[in-house]
Order: sequence, then C-alpha cells, then structure tokens
Amino acid sequence: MKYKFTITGLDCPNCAAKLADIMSKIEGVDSAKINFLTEKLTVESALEESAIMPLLSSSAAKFDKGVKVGK
Amino acid sequence: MKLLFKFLISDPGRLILGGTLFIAAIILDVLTLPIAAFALYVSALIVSGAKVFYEAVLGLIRRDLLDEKFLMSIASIGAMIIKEAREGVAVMLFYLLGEMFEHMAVRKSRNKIRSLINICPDEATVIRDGEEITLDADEVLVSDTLIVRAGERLCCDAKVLSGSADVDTSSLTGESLPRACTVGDRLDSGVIILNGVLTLEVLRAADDSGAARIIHMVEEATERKAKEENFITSFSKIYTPIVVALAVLIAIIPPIFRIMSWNDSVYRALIFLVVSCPCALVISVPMAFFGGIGTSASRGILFKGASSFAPVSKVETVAFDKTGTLTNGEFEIKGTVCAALSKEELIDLMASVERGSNHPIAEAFRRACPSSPLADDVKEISGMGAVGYVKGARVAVGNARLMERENARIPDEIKNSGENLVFAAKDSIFIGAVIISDTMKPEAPLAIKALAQLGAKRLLVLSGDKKARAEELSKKVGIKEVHAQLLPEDKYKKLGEIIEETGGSTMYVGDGINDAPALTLADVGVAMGSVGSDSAIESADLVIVSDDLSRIPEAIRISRKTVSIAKQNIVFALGVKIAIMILGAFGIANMWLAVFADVGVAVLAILNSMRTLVASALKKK
Repeated sequence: MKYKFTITGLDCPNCAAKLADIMSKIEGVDSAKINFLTEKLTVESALEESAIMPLLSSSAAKFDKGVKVGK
Repeated sequence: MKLLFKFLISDPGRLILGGTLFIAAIILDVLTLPIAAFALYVSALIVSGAKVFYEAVLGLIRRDLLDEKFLMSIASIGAMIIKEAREGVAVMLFYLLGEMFEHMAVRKSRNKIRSLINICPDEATVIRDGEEITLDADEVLVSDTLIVRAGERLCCDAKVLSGSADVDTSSLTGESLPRACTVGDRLDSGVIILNGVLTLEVLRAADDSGAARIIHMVEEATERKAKEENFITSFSKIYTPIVVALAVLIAIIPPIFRIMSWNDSVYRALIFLVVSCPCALVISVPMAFFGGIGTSASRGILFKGASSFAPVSKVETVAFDKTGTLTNGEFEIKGTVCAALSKEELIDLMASVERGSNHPIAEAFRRACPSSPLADDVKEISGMGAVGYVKGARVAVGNARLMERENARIPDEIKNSGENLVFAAKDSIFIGAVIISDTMKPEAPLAIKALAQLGAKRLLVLSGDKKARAEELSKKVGIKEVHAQLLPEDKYKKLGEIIEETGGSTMYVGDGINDAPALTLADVGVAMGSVGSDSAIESADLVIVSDDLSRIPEAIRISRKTVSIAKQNIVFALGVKIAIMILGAFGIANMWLAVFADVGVAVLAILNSMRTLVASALKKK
C-alpha cells in the first residue's frame, strides 16, 4: 500500500533526503520519499497505516526533534 | 519566566543571547583581557551552537560523519582550538542567522504557492431533509443539494438547479472576466459566486473535483524531476565527500612540507568545512521549478512535471488539432445553397425541424432563427439528422445519407462543393442546403503570431475535416501548413513523421478527449480545457485549464524563464562555493565571510526562484 503523510520541521532538502533514506530502511517499509517543498512523505509498505505511523514518527524524532509526521 | 526561557532556547533567542555575549567578548578582547574574553567566546558558542552540537551528536550516532551539523561543529570548535575564537563564534552566529533567513524564505515561498492553489473551501452549506446545514467539504456527497451565496466558493463540481449568478473562475483558469451562469450550467469547484444565490446539485465530490485534480497535479509535478535537479542531486552526493577530503589535504600537506604553519593550514581547511554543506545547491534547482509550477498554475497552466519545462521551452514545431482547439466547437450557419426558397425561408423551415434535436449543429439553427415554431412529430435519426412535419409536409434535415433514405437526389455540383453542408428535403424532393462552419476562437490569430515570435518555426494544422474548410480556417488563423481529411490514426502517423523531420521539440495541441495517442507521442502534448478528463491528464505534459489559446505562448515564456532561473541558480550557488574555496585555500577569505556567502547564496537562490511569481502577480494586476 502507498500512504501519504505530511512532514514538517525539516531544515533543508539535504536533510529531507537523508531522513527518507533512513525511513526506507525501517523494517516493513518498502520505500520512503520526502518532498521537501510540498512537505509530503510518501511511504510504500505492507503494514497498516496505524502501524506504520508510529514507526515513522519515532524515526523522525530520532533524526531531529523538530520533525513531525502527521496525517 | 517560562516564556523568557522559551524565547531563549528558540532560534532568534539564542541568536540574540549568543550575539550579545559575542559583542561583550570582543569588547573584553579589545580591552586586552584575553582570559575573560575567551570565557565569553566559549559561552557565546555554547549558547548559539547548542542545537547544532546536539544534532551533530545525533548524526554521529547514525555514523553520518558527513552530516552538515557535525562539520559545522568541527569548524567552529576547531577555530577555538587554533585560537581563532572570534571566528569560531562568528561562524556559528552567521550560520544560525542564515538558516533563519533560509527557513523564512522557504516558508514564504511555500505559503505563496499554497495560497495560489488553495482553491477549495473547507465548508459547504447543503440541504438535507429540508434543512440547511453546514458540513465539511469532504462530507458533501454526490447528488447533495448545495446552496452557495455571493462571495462563497464552490467546493464540488456541480450543476445549477436554480438561480443565476456571475462567477469568477480566475483561480482555476486565470481568466479574470466573470462568467454568467444559469440553470443547467455546470460549474467546477473553486469558482467564486460573485452575486446572487445558487442552488446546485453535486456532480462530483470535493476529493474528485476539478480543483482537487489541479491541486493534485501541481503537487505531483514537483516529483517529476527535471534533469537539472537530478544532476544537482547526484552531484551533491559526491560534493560533500570531495570538499571534506580537500579540507583534510589542505590541513595536512602544507605543514608536512613546511610551507605553512599548522595553525594556518587548519584555518584554511576549516573554511572548506564551512562550505561543505550542499544545501544551497540542493535547494536552488527544485525551488526554481517550484516557482515556475506555482506561477503557471495561477494562470491556469498546469505543467505535468518539472521535467516538462525544458521541452516546452525548446518548442520549434506546433501542430494543432482543429475542431475544439483552434475553433470553439460551436457551429454557425455561413450561407445557403438553394434555388427554390429564399435564404430566410429555408433556414426557418430547417430550424423548426432542428428545434427537436440536441445535436451541436441544431444549436446553430436555434441561434440563427430563435423564433421558428417547432415542427410536428419530430424524430431524430441517429447519425443522419431529423425528420418532422411542417404544415403537413414531411421535412428532412440532415446529411447525404438521410437524403438517400428519403429518396431525395442532391445535385452533384452541390454534393461535391467541398463545404460542410446540411441538406433539406421536402416530401422527398431536395430543396436546398446550408453551409455550416465552426467558429474560430477569437484569440487564435494573436496566439499563433505570438508563437511565431517566440521562435516556433513550423506551425501546422492536423484536421479530420474537409480540405477546403481546414484551409480556410488555417488561413484566417495564420497557419500555412494544413493536413486535412485525416482519420485519427492518420493524425498519429503524420505527427510521427513531423517529429522525425524537425529538430527542437514538437508540441501537439488538442482537446484531450480523443487524441490521447497524439498527446503522448509529441514531445509536448498540450490538452486544452480538459481538467475533467483523466485520460488528458494522463497523456498530456501540459494542461490548459481554460480554452484560451493565448495561454500556450504564455506557457512557453514561463518555461523559458523557469529553466533560465534554474540554470542561474546552479551557476550562482556552485560559483560562489568554488570562489570561496579558492579564496580560502589562498588565505584570502576568512571563515565568517565564507559562512555568510554560503548561506547568503541559498537565500538569494530562493528569492531568485520567486521572481517568475512576482512578475506574473504584477501582470495580473
């Protein structure tokens, strides 16, 4: 399944690319893409949305406290 | 107290506190109190750099040794160690200041573009069970009854049930003149009702509406990356490692050969670390396309992706579909061919039969002769025309096949005239014909001229229509090359040949309804007036929301400006970084100048990207 989330608080497109890279390595996540300008996170995963969201949030928080993943 | 603390840990708070400590430290320095000054420098660095240091540690935990924050921390702490405390603090302060400006500029641009495409209201008023209630836009269902009052925006695609009003479609089409609408008209979501009250039936829910498609398309457009962006993304991946490697070499090699002291060489190396972040590069290009996408969207021009800008900017050949593209798809009566009756009598007779038909050609009769009475017992004969009775006589109006069916013989010289004719027969005897033509869009000649001025060398028409008609229209519009009487598959083949023959990129302009293959084949497929159709959006590279042909030259202008801004940004961002490195390596630039130039260039690139937006906003006024 393909899910779309909003992602706010990223500093620059370089950091966005790095975080997307980290997120795509989470177990259960097939791919993760971040569009820095539109603040959209697109994730492909076999997991349920409710299961994937906390994984993404904690990965974002570990990367930078200010980064928030939302619906 | 809590508020004060909150302010002090915010970016501006730390900047102010750090800056104050920094100035105090400089004063102590001047007063030759080095130890006290150093203590203040250190505290200024801690205050201003706390967040950067913290994130550097996070980066280290991820084993990311090329993390921007980590390199910046090394640069400032390194400067302290080689007794360049003032520089070390300045680097951190300027970095903080630059980042703040950068965020501000990004936020501003984002908001600007969002407001351009924020065309759907959040709420709507609907009637359910006889009562007016206010719902969230996404709770409104198909076939709900909506009430929209003056000043409100429509949230769904809907049909007018009652009332009439002027509507402003500018947020969708960029068209500033209001349009009148009345019962039976279809309105797209996003239009604003200027006066009166409309009751409407919802045809498509908010998520599925024309406006939602536009927003979606604009958002997706940034994902289809231009080649400049791909270049800079791959370049940025090697940029940081190379610069850091250079820094290490500069720090180590000169002292080994005793050309330079360790302090000098390390200082110069730290300058390299300051400019090692690829952010200015990575943001400069997508920002330019983001600006272009937003600008064009506000004019009703939707680029499928950032990758569509380059081919549009290089258009040299433009092929037009005729009906519905160069013409507005409305027919009009141009003349008659008749011996027995007067022109007026013939049209009046035919109009009374056509009154009973829904065919677009019947519209032309209705306009030409609004008062003719409806004939008796009118029957529409699909693919042929209509038949009815006027004063007891059987009148047939339609094409040659209908005449054949009615046993009415059309004289050969009329049949082979090359015009588009609608024939009439009365009691099986041919009585005459009217010449029908569809009307040219009024802006077409100007748009064609503008395209030629923009460097489109070859302009042509591909039409399924009769040769004489296609040529006549093309002449009026100002296009010399015409290929007429083409079946849809011929059009596709012909377009393929044209693409082979010409250099530069080839644009095909169609209505997007039945020419999807041609839209896909062309380097640039332009679908006009068809946000509603999925196939058009799927196959086109450029969608013009309105029917207005003058948006095509405008799209070319915007694309050229956008591509040139993207290139400027690359050259500028890269140029400044390389200049700093060269100056730094020879000991001419100092650290705070390096950081200032580095973040400054990012801010300038962002501002530069917004230029198209500003220019079009001014034009709109």
